[in-house]
Amino acid sequence: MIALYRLALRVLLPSVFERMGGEAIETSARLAMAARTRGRSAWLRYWMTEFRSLASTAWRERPPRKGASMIPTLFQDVRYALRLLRRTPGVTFIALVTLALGIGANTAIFSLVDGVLLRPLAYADPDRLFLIQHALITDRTQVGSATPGNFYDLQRASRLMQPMAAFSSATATMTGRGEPERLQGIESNGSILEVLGVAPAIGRIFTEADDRIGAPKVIVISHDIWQRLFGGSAEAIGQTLTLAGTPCTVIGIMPKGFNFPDTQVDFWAPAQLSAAARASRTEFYLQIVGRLASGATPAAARAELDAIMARLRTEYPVANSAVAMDVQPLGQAFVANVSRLLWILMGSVGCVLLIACANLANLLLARATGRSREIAIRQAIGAGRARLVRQLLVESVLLALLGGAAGLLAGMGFLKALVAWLPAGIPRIDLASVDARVLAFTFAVAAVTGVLFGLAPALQLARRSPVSALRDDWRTSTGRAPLRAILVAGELAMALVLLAGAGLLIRSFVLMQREDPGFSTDRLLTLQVRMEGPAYAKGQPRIAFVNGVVDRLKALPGTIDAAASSYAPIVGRGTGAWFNLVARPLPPGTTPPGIPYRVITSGYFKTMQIPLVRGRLLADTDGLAGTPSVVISESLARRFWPSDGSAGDPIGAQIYLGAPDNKLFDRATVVGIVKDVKLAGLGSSLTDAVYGLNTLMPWWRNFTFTVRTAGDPTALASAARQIVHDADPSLAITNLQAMTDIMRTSVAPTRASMLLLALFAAVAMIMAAVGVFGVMSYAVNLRSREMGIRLALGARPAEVRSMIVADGMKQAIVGVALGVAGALWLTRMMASMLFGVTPGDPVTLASVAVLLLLTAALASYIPARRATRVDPLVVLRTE
Amino acid sequence: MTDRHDFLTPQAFQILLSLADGRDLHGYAIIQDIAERTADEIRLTASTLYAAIKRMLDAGLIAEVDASAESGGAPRRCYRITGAGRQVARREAARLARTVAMARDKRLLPRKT
Repeated sequence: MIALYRLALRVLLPSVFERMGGEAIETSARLAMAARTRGRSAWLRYWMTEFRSLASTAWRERPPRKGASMIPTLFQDVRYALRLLRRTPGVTFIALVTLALGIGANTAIFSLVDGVLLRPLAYADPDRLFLIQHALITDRTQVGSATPGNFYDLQRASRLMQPMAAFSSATATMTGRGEPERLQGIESNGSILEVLGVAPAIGRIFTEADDRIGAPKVIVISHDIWQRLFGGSAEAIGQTLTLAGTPCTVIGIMPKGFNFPDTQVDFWAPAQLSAAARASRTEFYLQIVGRLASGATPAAARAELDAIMARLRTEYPVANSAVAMDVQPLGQAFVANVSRLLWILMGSVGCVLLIACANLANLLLARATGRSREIAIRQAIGAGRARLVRQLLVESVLLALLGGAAGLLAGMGFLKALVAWLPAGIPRIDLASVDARVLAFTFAVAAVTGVLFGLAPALQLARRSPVSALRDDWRTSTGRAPLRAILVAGELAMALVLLAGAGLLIRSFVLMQREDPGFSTDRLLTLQVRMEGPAYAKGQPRIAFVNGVVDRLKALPGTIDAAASSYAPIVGRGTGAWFNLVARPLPPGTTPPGIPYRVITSGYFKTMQIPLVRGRLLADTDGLAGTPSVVISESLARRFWPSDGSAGDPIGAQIYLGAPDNKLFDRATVVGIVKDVKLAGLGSSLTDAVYGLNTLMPWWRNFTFTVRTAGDPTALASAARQIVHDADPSLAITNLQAMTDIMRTSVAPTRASMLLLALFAAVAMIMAAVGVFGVMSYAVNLRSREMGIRLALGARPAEVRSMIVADGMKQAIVGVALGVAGALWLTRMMASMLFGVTPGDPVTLASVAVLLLLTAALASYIPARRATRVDPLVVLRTE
Repeated sequence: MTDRHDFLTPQAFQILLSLADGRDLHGYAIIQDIAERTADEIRLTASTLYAAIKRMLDAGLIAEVDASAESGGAPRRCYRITGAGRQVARREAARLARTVAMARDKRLLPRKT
């Protein structure tokens, strides 16, 4: 970036560059470094401002023109270039389509990158906002939620992160306004809205005072919900909404477009935790956001939080011995998951455009060679070399700008298609649009593209002496053009990198699809219900409701089996708890391992067809009132009871979940081991799980019902909905879908990135093949006389053909070798996106290399065959 | 030449302000000083700064001095306000003060108490 800046400064502000260039560059480097500490996007924003101001300063300070000759000749050049474009419609059309696709793809992906990654968050002074999380002290890349106890201690003790607040998601069923409806909400400890610093559109936001125990229940709602429920009336302030059976007073409405942490949130409310809940150090569910105090640096704040955490580790060793703090800029934290993918896509479309440039350069090179007589005549009658080069550049830039305009239109279309087609869950994707910034980007790209592909022919022409061009003696040359060979090798190298990337993703996807989820996904209907309100304050009504609904679902015609569980498989890790073996207590001061657990009804394994490995499945008598029992997954059994038997037998072992002073149940016996089930997606290896009945853990409120059907599962959807509605009309049903839909959603991100990269790679490969074809045809044309002579002297056509193909393959092999090296280096960035293959996977690399070599061979064979088809006499006679 | 500098750009005026108390500052320090004083309202880039500095050097409003050796590291060029620069800055400040007074008269700003 510094090198680019040096170059730009030298070209645009030569007077400043000569006098104090070194200093200016050093200063910009220091400014960039300072911006880098605020994150990568701040760094990029800094450079964008720097270059913009450089350009505008240069324009203000431009030297007065010598005379007025520049503008009219430029005009002449443009007119001449337009005439030329019209005269060769074939070349113009191919060039425009290539450019429109290349620039369009870049425009669309840049709109995404800009909207999702580069725009600052829409909060007050967003660069000072940080996401604070717990991290594993042994591996700080493993981050997770914080406990309320730690949060309140951090909030009290920190001076450099002020204010600080925590939040957790809290969906709630809204009743009293037509059909019950699930609303997505955020519960805040402290006031998250104060920390973000965004003023409400109407009313007020809640403050820390509203988070007191016993304070009135208040909520702030989103603009969308306000429009939908209150028709946008200001009367909404002071009205009540009944959420989870509790009336809450609406005190404020956030402005249109405000969202935190993502677009789906309908309301924000103070959590108003009880004193006991505030002190909890065993429940990890809070995300903390802090604002850097004015004058403080991120590093100082990090050090301060680390020091506080060190103190908390000694004060609460059991809860905190493994916990460290992780502090990262909020803007980065939000998009951490997609930023890698988006940058890879940006790089890929950039490559595609470069390949397109190389092809266009070749195309124009061929045309320019055809025009060398014209150019030579102009040169002979006195046109300066610089003037000629300028005219050629005007031609190519004009072509590129026309292509850019077409590309902009194409880009808008691509972007629309992309946003509709990409899987849900990409944050801030609604911000991606073709606006002034994207417009500027597109035309900058177009102009640079024009110079890039215009430079080659212009330079070549400028080099040739007019005499040789007029004599036409280039025809007798061997047709070797090093520039073109380099272009083709470069194209092939880039195409190979893209193909390798796409190949790795395709293999990942295929391997992932082949993974065994651990249960049968066929003909399975799922639906989610959360039991809310005073009617479910005690365990008995919850058990009655869940078991009642399961029984009625089983009785439904077309049902084979039905059950309920706290989470469906695949959807995620879900809730976990500390896993303790009664017979093997841990040394004091150590944190037990956290293991996901599932609350189920007794028919769950049978319904999901999860096979039993050893022991027995759970029966209705295994609840708290009978013989408290649990079943564990095979991987968990292996983890704590190695197969060598050194730790005894899992069956019959006594366990409990939670902390000694906060147990989920007193103790239970392991009675069976079931096959592993993928909890968090096909690509995840998370399979450790403890299963217990809802009669063992009766406090669980949120259940996913699963129904195994004889036919199409969605055919039973409305009947299932009716059963829940009949059991309790005040409960809302969410995520009513077939299990296969859940599976599809789970692989959607991999599938989307695979398809996009495959598309770009395919385009790159086709373009590279066209490039090879173009260069070889050109070479064959130039050498047709040589071929004629060879054939006339008795060379066999097959020999001539293989000579030409070998010539083409030389470039191809160089390109492929370069590409393999590049792919080895670049695909490492994809490691986290892959499944079952490593970035440098030799099979993938070898197959794409062979594919590309075959394509190149084919692309050179076609012109070679044409060359040997001509009659040698015809060729020789034309000279 | 002087008539070109009767009106200073806001950036140039801010640079003069940074140097007005007689300190010798290098480029990065000037940017930091301006950003601090204006609470980030004016953030110069390296390009704008040095283009302005070159213009002001040409016009004799500021002069180059070598940084004192005790600061350590590579010798760095610092800038110092000249008599002419101080005069131009004073004139600009007076002009701005008159502008503010006019704004007060038209009630765009609260009157001084």
